[in-house]
Amino acid sequence: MKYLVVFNNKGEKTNQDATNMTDHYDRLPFLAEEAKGGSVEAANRIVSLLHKEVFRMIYYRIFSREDAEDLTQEVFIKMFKGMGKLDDTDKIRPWLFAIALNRVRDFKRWKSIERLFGRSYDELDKLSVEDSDPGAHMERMELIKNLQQFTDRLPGSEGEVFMLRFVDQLGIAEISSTLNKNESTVKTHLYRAIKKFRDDPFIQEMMKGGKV
Amino acid sequence: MSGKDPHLSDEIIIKAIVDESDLSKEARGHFSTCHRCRDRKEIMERNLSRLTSAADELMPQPKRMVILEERDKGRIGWFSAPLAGAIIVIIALAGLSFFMPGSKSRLKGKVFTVAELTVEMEKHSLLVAEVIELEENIMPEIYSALTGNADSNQYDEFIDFVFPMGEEINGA
Repeated sequence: MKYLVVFNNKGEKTNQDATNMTDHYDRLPFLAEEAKGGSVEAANRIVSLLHKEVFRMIYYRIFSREDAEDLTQEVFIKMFKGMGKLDDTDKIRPWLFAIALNRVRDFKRWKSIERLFGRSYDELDKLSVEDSDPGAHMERMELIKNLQQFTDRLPGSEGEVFMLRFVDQLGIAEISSTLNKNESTVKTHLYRAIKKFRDDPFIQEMMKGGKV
Repeated sequence: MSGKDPHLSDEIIIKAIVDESDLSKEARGHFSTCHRCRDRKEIMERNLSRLTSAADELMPQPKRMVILEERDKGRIGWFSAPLAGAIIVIIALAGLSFFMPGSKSRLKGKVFTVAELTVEMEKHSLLVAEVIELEENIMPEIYSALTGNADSNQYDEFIDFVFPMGEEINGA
């Protein structure tokens, strides 16, 4: 029988049977505990569980597959290097998302500097996934473009909260942990953002199309 | 809900989308019986879920998978093993010199006193630290901060002023 040493809420070491555990979200805290102890294998299992989510989160903020791949790699390396800073292994997911959002923020900042010096900023034209219905595909692209412009117009954290909820599909509690804000603040941001979404003429025009 | 219209307002419908458990007992009661209000909420939710499905459809698959290796492991803060080793050796040498007050070192013909030797060792220690730092990141700290490769927030206020990009999330 394989045991994992984990810490309970009181900080006491306990042994838990890991024999029948599958690599699912439930296992993340255990894997995080092992990775914290230096296990490369556990860290790579975390990667395999969360790679797609982190990549998606990054991709929909920078719209470049290659850059999103690079940043995703950096995020996981930073995660592994910084495991010691993670006090509560239950929060590995929001912690990782927070690292990803900070890297996106740094990346965008760097791109702003590049743009200032005349270099182009690759944007939405890289949305190039093939679709069986070209018309619907175009409308989806249009919707994502409008979404990006819409969230850019939102003040403060409203845009980020909106993206985390409806693009990244995080729950309120996870958004709260990711952004290090309390839940009622997250709900207020989300409420305001949905209200603006409802009133946004470009978004509403797209919704009337109905193909999306 | 108002005196004239028995149905829930758009604001309450949005509040329900955010978190239905935050509604008042009265509003929740109305929701459970009123099909029209439930339909309004569903339409709004459907519009929002179109974003999610559009994002699902358009997301390209990553072509590269991340594989972590032994060398990606973290260090204890800024304190790297080679730096720790260098400092231990220097402290040991300095300690040895301290217990031999009459001793003098000869280097390239120059005679060092214990005080001079200690100063030299301190300089050496700083140099070693700088070399290790450069080995890990060849760009000076200011450029590292600009490229986002440094953990330091020293220049963030200035950079935020020049290129405002919203709040940094602490603790990650």
